[in-house]
Amino acid sequence: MKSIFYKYLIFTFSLALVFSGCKKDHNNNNITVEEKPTPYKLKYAPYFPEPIIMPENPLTEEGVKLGRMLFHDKILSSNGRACVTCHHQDKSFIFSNKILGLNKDIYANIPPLINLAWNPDFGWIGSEHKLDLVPATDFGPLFFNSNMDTVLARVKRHAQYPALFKKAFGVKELTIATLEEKTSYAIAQYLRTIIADESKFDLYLGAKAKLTDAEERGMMIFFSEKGDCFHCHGGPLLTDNKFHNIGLDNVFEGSNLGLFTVTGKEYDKGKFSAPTLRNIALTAPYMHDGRFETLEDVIQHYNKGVKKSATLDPIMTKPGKETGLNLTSQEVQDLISFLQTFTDHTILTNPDFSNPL
Amino acid sequence: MRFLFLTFLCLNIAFTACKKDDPDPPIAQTGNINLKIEYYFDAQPLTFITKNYTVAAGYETSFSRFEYYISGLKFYRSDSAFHAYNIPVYADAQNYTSGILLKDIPAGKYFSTKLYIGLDAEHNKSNSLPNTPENINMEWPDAMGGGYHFLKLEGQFKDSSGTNGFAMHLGRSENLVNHQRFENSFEIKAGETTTVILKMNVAEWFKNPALYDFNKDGLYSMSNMVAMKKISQNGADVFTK
Repeated sequence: MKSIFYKYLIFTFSLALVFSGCKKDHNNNNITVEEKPTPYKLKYAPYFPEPIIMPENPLTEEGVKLGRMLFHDKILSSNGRACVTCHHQDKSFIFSNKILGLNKDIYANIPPLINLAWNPDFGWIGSEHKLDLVPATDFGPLFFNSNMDTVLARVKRHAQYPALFKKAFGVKELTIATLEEKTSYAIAQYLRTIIADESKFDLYLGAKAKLTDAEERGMMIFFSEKGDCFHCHGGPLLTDNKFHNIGLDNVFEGSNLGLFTVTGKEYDKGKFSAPTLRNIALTAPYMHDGRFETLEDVIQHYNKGVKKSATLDPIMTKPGKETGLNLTSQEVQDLISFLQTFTDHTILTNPDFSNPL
Repeated sequence: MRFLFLTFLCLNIAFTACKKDDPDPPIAQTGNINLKIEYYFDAQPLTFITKNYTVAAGYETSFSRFEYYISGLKFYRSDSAFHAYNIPVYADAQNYTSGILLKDIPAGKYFSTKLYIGLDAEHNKSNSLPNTPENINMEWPDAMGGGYHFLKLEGQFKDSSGTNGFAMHLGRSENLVNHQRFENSFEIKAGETTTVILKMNVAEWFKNPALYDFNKDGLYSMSNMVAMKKISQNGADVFTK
């Protein structure tokens, strides 16, 4: 009897080894195999660089879906606002205090929420380096003024959100901390899917469209020393994602201090992040403070309005062009024509980005 | 007997099921280089933006950006035998951190190095490099000949008129910097990564053989072939032992 028992024990142990030897640890972060979300495949033009995706917040179908819902939902705020209140799809998700009529001393002019998957930092002065953390800042008094206890209670009572948070992030019990973090992660995932890469310029690059004569002349200005736009707005993203002082001011104070506000370094005064020029024709007004109403106003700044200062970008100080490009009025119009080829109209109506609620 | 067979079978499966089919890896005959580049202005370590240096033409000058490519690297074992490393290397002197990894360098002793600053003709074609943000920002527009910037050296200098910006940009294949061979002894051990340090004297970009004077030769060199040729010639001996 004892012998049979030992035989049974050895045999069972052997079988256990067979079936457990190669097993992976499926219990990572309390998310079981069945609950793991589906990876989201980001699609973008082949000439774009690799997007910047934080390892702690990979894109998933469930995360993007949740983020899209939350982006459009007033449930997150205590003042009736949602992200979409300020970032309208038909305006390429721009935020403009001139559109909203809010206090211009508080509310800045934010570049469009497109192609954010390629930004190494966010905002005009790069105060945040992770897109995943940016949406959470909206809970504060400036934007949502959220009472988080109330928001948490509403979200927990919601018919879909608790299950969606569980599916997307494995969150079994929402707390204020997990709600803030995962809401921010989900909205960041959604924002990374908003990609502008189907403009006329893209079709031209793919030999699927021809530029008009004016657009072609504008392109030559853009990509040559005549306009010298390409140094800061070159490549497929139409931004170098760096900070520049383009001579808007020569006295720096308040919101004009630029990157200095973040770094505290004198040499960063007046420097702002170069925004993408994709959809630029749709995103007036322009500059960090919305000081220019039209593209022509912007070009006229580069043409004859550059103000010299100690931190002016060296690119802006060419011999004979110290205070501007000296473009003729025809060249200005040609350049505007070319800038209009950067518009991706599909984004404005793409149902994948629309309000799902 | 049947019990022993079944037990043996199970144990056999248990201890062999996860085994890879690969044979033992071959003994490495190569190692890696962790390439570190140190920047000096003559004898002083180079500090960006906040420190001024006097260039050969006499101007107090500070530097705010310095990006460039190295290509055509040759590591010499003797006067004539060398290992060619054919992958271009991008360097950002300002944001330089841990070094640049060059893989699969044959083991052995090396005595000197030769290189181009910029991209050799094989690589200086539009879209020939991977779509990294760095490479994209170094593109040289097709409207101006295509390919990539070889070098962007920018900053400010002071003259009698005040503080001015300068942007020495180099590109186009005829301006490739054919750097002279320089002594640089190191040993690569099989399977190991060896740190190799190159030292660049940034002051040399402004002298030898030609004095580069911003006010005479240009604050801005892109599309100025005469200025670019001068910069290219001056760059031939910027790396030192």
